[in-house]
Amino acid sequence: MIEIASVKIIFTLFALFAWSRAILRFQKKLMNAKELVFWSVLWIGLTIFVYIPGKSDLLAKILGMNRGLDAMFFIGIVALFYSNYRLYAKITEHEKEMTNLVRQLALKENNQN
Amino acid sequence: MKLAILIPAYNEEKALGQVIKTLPKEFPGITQIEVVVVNDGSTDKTAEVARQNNVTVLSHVINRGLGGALGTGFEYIRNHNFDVLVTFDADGQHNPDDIYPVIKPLIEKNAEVVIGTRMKERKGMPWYRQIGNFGLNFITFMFYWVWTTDSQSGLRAFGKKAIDQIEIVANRMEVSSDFFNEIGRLQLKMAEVPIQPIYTEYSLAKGQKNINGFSILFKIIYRRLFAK
Repeated sequence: MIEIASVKIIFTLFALFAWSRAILRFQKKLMNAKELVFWSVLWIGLTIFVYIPGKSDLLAKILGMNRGLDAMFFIGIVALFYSNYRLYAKITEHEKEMTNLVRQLALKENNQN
Repeated sequence: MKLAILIPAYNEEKALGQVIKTLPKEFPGITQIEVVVVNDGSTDKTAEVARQNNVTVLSHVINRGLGGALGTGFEYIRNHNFDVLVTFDADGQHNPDDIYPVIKPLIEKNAEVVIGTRMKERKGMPWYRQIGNFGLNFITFMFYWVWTTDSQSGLRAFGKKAIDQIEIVANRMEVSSDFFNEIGRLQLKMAEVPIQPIYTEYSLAKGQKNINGFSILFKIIYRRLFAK
Protein backbone atom coordinates (compact mmCIF):
# COMPACT_ATOMS: atom_id res chain seq x y z
CA MET A 1 0.00 0.00 0.00
CA ILE A 2 1.25 3.47 -0.82
CA GLU A 3 1.97 5.50 2.29
CA ILE A 4 0.58 9.01 2.30
CA ALA A 5 1.92 11.54 4.80
CA SER A 6 -0.82 12.74 7.10
CA VAL A 7 -0.02 16.35 6.31
CA LYS A 8 -1.05 15.65 2.72
CA ILE A 9 -4.35 14.16 3.85
CA ILE A 10 -5.01 17.13 6.10
CA PHE A 11 -4.25 19.52 3.26
CA THR A 12 -6.50 17.60 0.88
CA LEU A 13 -9.37 17.72 3.39
CA PHE A 14 -8.82 21.42 3.94
CA ALA A 15 -8.74 22.09 0.19
CA LEU A 16 -11.97 20.14 -0.27
CA PHE A 17 -13.56 22.10 2.55
CA ALA A 18 -12.43 25.44 1.08
CA TRP A 19 -13.61 24.41 -2.37
CA SER A 20 -17.01 23.38 -1.01
CA ARG A 21 -17.32 26.85 0.59
CA ALA A 22 -16.65 28.40 -2.80
CA ILE A 23 -19.33 26.24 -4.41
CA LEU A 24 -21.81 27.13 -1.67
CA ARG A 25 -21.12 30.84 -2.13
CA PHE A 26 -21.63 30.40 -5.86
CA GLN A 27 -24.97 28.67 -5.27
CA LYS A 28 -26.06 31.49 -3.01
CA LYS A 29 -25.08 33.90 -5.78
CA LEU A 30 -22.48 35.58 -3.57
CA MET A 31 -19.83 34.67 -6.12
CA ASN A 32 -19.86 34.76 -9.92
CA ALA A 33 -18.80 31.97 -12.29
CA LYS A 34 -15.41 33.56 -12.94
CA GLU A 35 -14.56 33.61 -9.24
CA LEU A 36 -15.74 30.02 -8.85
CA VAL A 37 -13.45 28.92 -11.70
CA PHE A 38 -10.54 30.80 -10.06
CA TRP A 39 -10.99 29.18 -6.66
CA SER A 40 -11.66 25.73 -8.19
CA VAL A 41 -8.48 25.87 -10.26
CA LEU A 42 -6.53 27.11 -7.22
CA TRP A 43 -7.67 24.45 -4.77
CA ILE A 44 -7.60 21.55 -7.23
CA GLY A 45 -4.22 22.71 -8.53
CA LEU A 46 -2.74 22.95 -5.04
CA THR A 47 -4.06 19.51 -4.12
CA ILE A 48 -2.48 17.96 -7.21
CA PHE A 49 0.72 19.87 -6.49
CA VAL A 50 0.94 18.42 -3.00
CA TYR A 51 1.06 14.88 -4.44
CA ILE A 52 3.84 15.53 -6.98
CA PRO A 53 6.92 13.80 -5.58
CA GLY A 54 10.13 15.81 -5.28
CA LYS A 55 8.48 19.17 -6.04
CA SER A 56 9.86 20.90 -2.95
CA ASP A 57 13.39 19.81 -3.83
CA LEU A 58 12.95 21.38 -7.24
CA LEU A 59 11.81 24.59 -5.53
CA ALA A 60 14.83 24.46 -3.24
CA LYS A 61 17.10 24.09 -6.24
CA ILE A 62 15.57 27.13 -7.92
CA LEU A 63 15.97 29.19 -4.72
CA GLY A 64 19.49 27.90 -4.09
CA MET A 65 18.59 26.13 -0.84
CA ASN A 66 19.58 22.71 0.41
CA ARG A 67 16.30 21.31 1.66
CA GLY A 68 12.86 21.38 0.14
CA LEU A 69 11.36 22.14 3.52
CA ASP A 70 13.49 25.30 3.87
CA ALA A 71 12.22 26.51 0.52
CA MET A 72 8.61 25.90 1.58
CA PHE A 73 9.12 27.84 4.82
CA PHE A 74 10.82 30.67 2.98
CA ILE A 75 7.99 31.01 0.48
CA GLY A 76 5.44 30.72 3.28
CA ILE A 77 7.00 33.52 5.34
CA VAL A 78 7.36 35.84 2.35
CA ALA A 79 3.75 35.21 1.39
CA LEU A 80 2.59 35.90 4.96
CA PHE A 81 4.58 39.15 5.12
CA TYR A 82 3.12 40.27 1.86
CA SER A 83 -0.45 39.44 2.84
CA ASN A 84 0.13 41.22 6.17
CA TYR A 85 1.27 44.32 4.31
CA ARG A 86 -1.72 44.16 1.98
CA LEU A 87 -4.06 43.89 4.95
CA TYR A 88 -2.41 46.83 6.69
CA ALA A 89 -2.66 48.94 3.55
CA LYS A 90 -6.33 48.03 3.13
CA ILE A 91 -7.14 48.81 6.76
CA THR A 92 -5.36 52.16 6.53
CA GLU A 93 -7.37 52.99 3.44
CA HIS A 94 -10.64 52.03 5.14
CA GLU A 95 -9.71 54.07 8.22
CA LYS A 96 -9.18 57.07 5.96
CA GLU A 97 -12.51 56.56 4.25
CA MET A 98 -14.26 56.14 7.58
CA THR A 99 -12.73 59.34 8.95
CA ASN A 100 -13.83 61.18 5.85
CA LEU A 101 -17.36 59.86 6.23
CA VAL A 102 -17.51 60.82 9.92
CA ARG A 103 -16.10 64.26 9.02
CA GLN A 104 -18.67 64.95 6.31
CA LEU A 105 -21.48 63.90 8.68
CA ALA A 106 -20.18 66.29 11.36
CA LEU A 107 -19.89 69.20 8.91
CA LYS A 108 -23.32 68.49 7.42
CA GLU A 109 -24.94 68.37 10.84
CA ASN A 110 -23.36 71.72 11.68
CA ASN A 111 -24.69 73.24 8.44
CA GLN A 112 -28.22 72.17 9.30
CA ASN A 113 -28.12 73.70 12.77
CA MET B 1 -8.39 89.24 10.63
CA LYS B 2 -10.54 86.25 11.54
CA LEU B 3 -9.17 83.85 14.16
CA ALA B 4 -10.39 80.33 14.86
CA ILE B 5 -9.40 78.52 18.05
CA LEU B 6 -9.66 74.81 17.31
CA ILE B 7 -10.08 72.47 20.27
CA PRO B 8 -10.17 68.73 19.56
CA ALA B 9 -11.88 67.02 22.49
CA TYR B 10 -12.42 63.40 23.43
CA ASN B 11 -14.10 62.73 26.77
CA GLU B 12 -13.08 66.08 28.24
CA GLU B 13 -16.27 67.07 30.10
CA LYS B 14 -14.26 67.77 33.26
CA ALA B 15 -11.74 70.22 31.81
CA LEU B 16 -13.34 71.61 28.64
CA GLY B 17 -15.76 74.10 30.23
CA GLN B 18 -13.01 75.79 32.19
CA VAL B 19 -10.70 75.81 29.16
CA ILE B 20 -13.30 77.61 27.02
CA LYS B 21 -14.17 80.11 29.78
CA THR B 22 -10.55 81.15 30.24
CA LEU B 23 -9.88 81.81 26.54
CA PRO B 24 -9.17 85.51 25.87
CA LYS B 25 -12.04 87.36 24.18
CA GLU B 26 -9.88 89.72 22.13
CA PHE B 27 -6.43 90.03 20.61
CA PRO B 28 -4.69 92.99 18.97
CA GLY B 29 -5.08 92.76 15.18
CA ILE B 30 -7.96 90.24 15.37
CA THR B 31 -11.47 91.41 14.50
CA GLN B 32 -13.39 88.19 14.95
CA ILE B 33 -12.82 85.09 17.09
CA GLU B 34 -14.63 81.77 16.76
CA VAL B 35 -14.01 78.83 19.05
CA VAL B 36 -14.49 75.50 17.26
CA VAL B 37 -14.72 72.35 19.38
CA VAL B 38 -14.48 69.03 17.55
CA ASN B 39 -16.15 66.49 19.79
CA ASP B 40 -14.45 63.30 18.68
CA GLY B 41 -17.11 60.71 19.47
CA SER B 42 -16.99 61.33 23.21
CA THR B 43 -19.06 59.06 25.40
CA ASP B 44 -19.41 61.67 28.15
CA LYS B 45 -20.98 65.14 28.10
CA THR B 46 -18.20 66.88 26.16
CA ALA B 47 -20.56 68.11 23.40
CA GLU B 48 -23.11 69.42 25.93
CA VAL B 49 -20.43 71.27 27.90
CA ALA B 50 -19.19 72.88 24.70
CA ARG B 51 -22.71 73.92 23.60
CA GLN B 52 -23.44 75.47 26.99
CA ASN B 53 -20.45 77.73 26.38
CA ASN B 54 -21.80 78.98 23.05
CA VAL B 55 -19.07 77.75 20.78
CA THR B 56 -19.23 75.98 17.41
CA VAL B 57 -19.44 72.23 17.97
CA LEU B 58 -18.64 69.65 15.30
CA SER B 59 -19.49 66.18 16.53
CA HIS B 60 -18.02 62.96 15.21
CA VAL B 61 -20.45 60.06 15.53
CA ILE B 62 -17.55 57.75 16.44
CA ASN B 63 -14.06 58.36 17.77
CA ARG B 64 -11.51 58.92 14.99
CA GLY B 65 -8.49 60.12 16.94
CA LEU B 66 -6.61 63.40 17.18
CA GLY B 67 -5.73 63.53 13.47
CA GLY B 68 -9.31 62.89 12.43
CA ALA B 69 -10.60 65.61 14.76
CA LEU B 70 -8.03 68.18 13.64
CA GLY B 71 -8.80 67.36 10.01
CA THR B 72 -12.49 68.07 10.55
CA GLY B 73 -11.66 71.37 12.25
CA PHE B 74 -9.32 72.34 9.41
CA GLU B 75 -11.99 71.65 6.81
CA TYR B 76 -14.59 73.73 8.65
CA ILE B 77 -12.13 76.59 9.15
CA ARG B 78 -11.03 76.43 5.50
CA ASN B 79 -14.66 76.57 4.36
CA HIS B 80 -15.35 79.60 6.55
CA ASN B 81 -12.41 81.69 5.35
CA PHE B 82 -10.41 82.21 8.51
CA ASP B 83 -7.05 83.98 8.36
CA VAL B 84 -5.49 82.45 11.45
CA LEU B 85 -6.06 79.09 13.12
CA VAL B 86 -4.70 78.07 16.48
CA THR B 87 -4.99 74.54 17.88
CA PHE B 88 -5.48 74.32 21.63
CA ASP B 89 -5.72 71.28 23.93
CA ALA B 90 -8.96 70.55 25.74
CA ASP B 91 -7.31 69.06 28.84
CA GLY B 92 -6.21 72.36 30.37
CA GLN B 93 -2.54 71.79 29.58
CA HIS B 94 -2.18 75.06 27.67
CA ASN B 95 -2.02 78.49 29.14
CA PRO B 96 -4.51 80.85 27.39
CA ASP B 97 -1.94 83.65 27.76
CA ASP B 98 0.29 81.73 25.33
CA ILE B 99 -2.17 82.10 22.45
CA TYR B 100 -1.24 85.65 21.55
CA PRO B 101 2.55 85.04 21.40
CA VAL B 102 1.85 82.05 19.14
CA ILE B 103 -0.40 83.93 16.68
CA LYS B 104 1.62 87.15 16.73
CA PRO B 105 4.20 86.09 14.08
CA LEU B 106 1.25 85.24 11.79
CA ILE B 107 -0.51 88.58 12.33
CA GLU B 108 2.75 90.36 11.63
CA LYS B 109 3.33 88.11 8.60
CA ASN B 110 6.69 86.87 9.87
CA ALA B 111 5.72 83.21 9.59
CA GLU B 112 3.13 80.86 8.06
CA VAL B 113 3.18 78.25 10.82
CA VAL B 114 4.08 78.76 14.48
CA ILE B 115 4.84 75.96 16.93
CA GLY B 116 4.41 76.67 20.62
CA THR B 117 7.35 74.80 22.08
CA ARG B 118 7.44 73.43 25.61
CA MET B 119 11.10 72.58 25.33
CA LYS B 120 12.59 76.02 25.76
CA GLU B 121 11.28 76.28 29.30
CA ARG B 122 11.12 72.67 30.40
CA LYS B 123 10.15 73.31 33.98
CA GLY B 124 7.55 70.81 35.15
CA MET B 125 7.85 68.41 32.22
CA PRO B 126 8.73 64.93 33.52
CA TRP B 127 12.18 63.76 32.39
CA TYR B 128 10.82 60.64 30.69
CA ARG B 129 8.55 62.85 28.58
CA GLN B 130 11.51 65.00 27.62
CA ILE B 131 13.37 61.93 26.38
CA GLY B 132 10.34 60.65 24.48
CA ASN B 133 9.79 64.06 22.97
CA PHE B 134 13.39 64.37 21.86
CA GLY B 135 13.20 60.94 20.25
CA LEU B 136 10.15 61.93 18.24
CA ASN B 137 11.73 65.27 17.23
CA PHE B 138 14.70 63.33 15.93
CA ILE B 139 12.47 60.91 14.02
CA THR B 140 10.50 63.82 12.60
CA PHE B 141 13.75 65.37 11.39
CA MET B 142 14.99 62.11 9.89
CA PHE B 143 11.85 61.58 7.88
CA TYR B 144 10.70 65.09 7.02
CA TRP B 145 13.89 67.17 7.23
CA VAL B 146 12.25 69.77 9.42
CA TRP B 147 13.87 70.43 12.79
CA THR B 148 11.63 71.38 15.68
CA THR B 149 12.21 71.40 19.42
CA ASP B 150 8.69 70.13 20.08
CA SER B 151 7.15 67.92 17.40
CA GLN B 152 4.34 66.81 19.70
CA SER B 153 3.14 70.24 20.83
CA GLY B 154 -0.60 70.74 20.69
CA LEU B 155 -0.42 74.54 20.64
CA ARG B 156 0.28 75.55 17.05
CA ALA B 157 -0.92 78.34 14.82
CA PHE B 158 -1.44 78.41 11.07
CA GLY B 159 -1.80 81.27 8.62
CA LYS B 160 -4.08 81.40 5.59
CA LYS B 161 -1.71 79.63 3.19
CA ALA B 162 -1.17 76.80 5.68
CA ILE B 163 -4.92 76.51 6.42
CA ASP B 164 -5.70 76.26 2.72
CA GLN B 165 -2.94 73.89 1.71
CA ILE B 166 -2.19 71.54 4.60
CA GLU B 167 -3.66 68.10 4.00
CA ILE B 168 -4.19 66.02 7.13
CA VAL B 169 -4.05 62.32 6.34
CA ALA B 170 -3.16 60.85 9.73
CA ASN B 171 -5.98 59.67 11.95
CA ARG B 172 -4.41 59.43 15.34
CA MET B 173 -1.54 60.85 17.41
CA GLU B 174 0.91 60.62 14.50
CA VAL B 175 -0.78 63.75 13.13
CA SER B 176 1.59 65.87 15.21
CA SER B 177 4.61 64.65 13.28
CA ASP B 178 2.56 64.72 10.11
CA PHE B 179 2.22 68.49 10.26
CA PHE B 180 5.97 68.69 9.72
CA ASN B 181 5.66 66.57 6.63
CA GLU B 182 3.29 69.21 5.27
CA ILE B 183 5.48 72.10 6.45
CA GLY B 184 8.38 70.54 4.53
CA ARG B 185 6.35 69.64 1.45
CA LEU B 186 4.70 73.05 1.13
CA GLN B 187 7.86 74.88 2.25
CA LEU B 188 5.94 76.88 4.80
CA LYS B 189 7.87 79.42 6.85
CA MET B 190 7.93 78.08 10.41
CA ALA B 191 8.65 79.83 13.69
CA GLU B 192 8.85 78.54 17.25
CA VAL B 193 7.64 80.40 20.30
CA PRO B 194 8.26 79.23 23.87
CA ILE B 195 5.11 78.38 25.83
CA GLN B 196 4.58 77.48 29.46
CA PRO B 197 2.35 74.42 29.76
CA ILE B 198 0.35 73.73 32.90
CA TYR B 199 1.16 70.23 34.13
CA THR B 200 -1.49 68.86 36.41
CA GLU B 201 -2.14 65.26 37.29
CA TYR B 202 -5.14 65.38 34.96
CA SER B 203 -3.31 66.81 31.94
CA LEU B 204 -0.36 64.44 32.42
CA ALA B 205 -2.64 61.44 32.50
CA LYS B 206 -4.35 62.66 29.32
CA GLY B 207 -1.14 63.45 27.47
CA GLN B 208 1.04 61.46 25.15
CA LYS B 209 2.62 58.30 26.54
CA ASN B 210 6.13 57.24 25.52
CA ILE B 211 4.79 53.90 24.37
CA ASN B 212 2.74 55.75 21.73
CA GLY B 213 6.07 56.84 20.28
CA PHE B 214 6.62 53.37 18.85
CA SER B 215 3.25 53.33 17.17
CA ILE B 216 3.91 56.83 15.79
CA LEU B 217 7.30 55.69 14.49
CA PHE B 218 5.79 52.66 12.81
CA LYS B 219 3.13 54.75 11.09
CA ILE B 220 5.64 57.36 9.93
CA ILE B 221 7.81 54.63 8.39
CA TYR B 222 4.84 53.00 6.74
CA ARG B 223 3.59 56.31 5.32
CA ARG B 224 7.05 57.31 4.16
CA LEU B 225 7.84 54.04 2.43
CA PHE B 226 4.61 52.61 1.17
CA ALA B 227 1.81 55.15 1.14
CA LYS B 228 1.35 58.51 -0.55
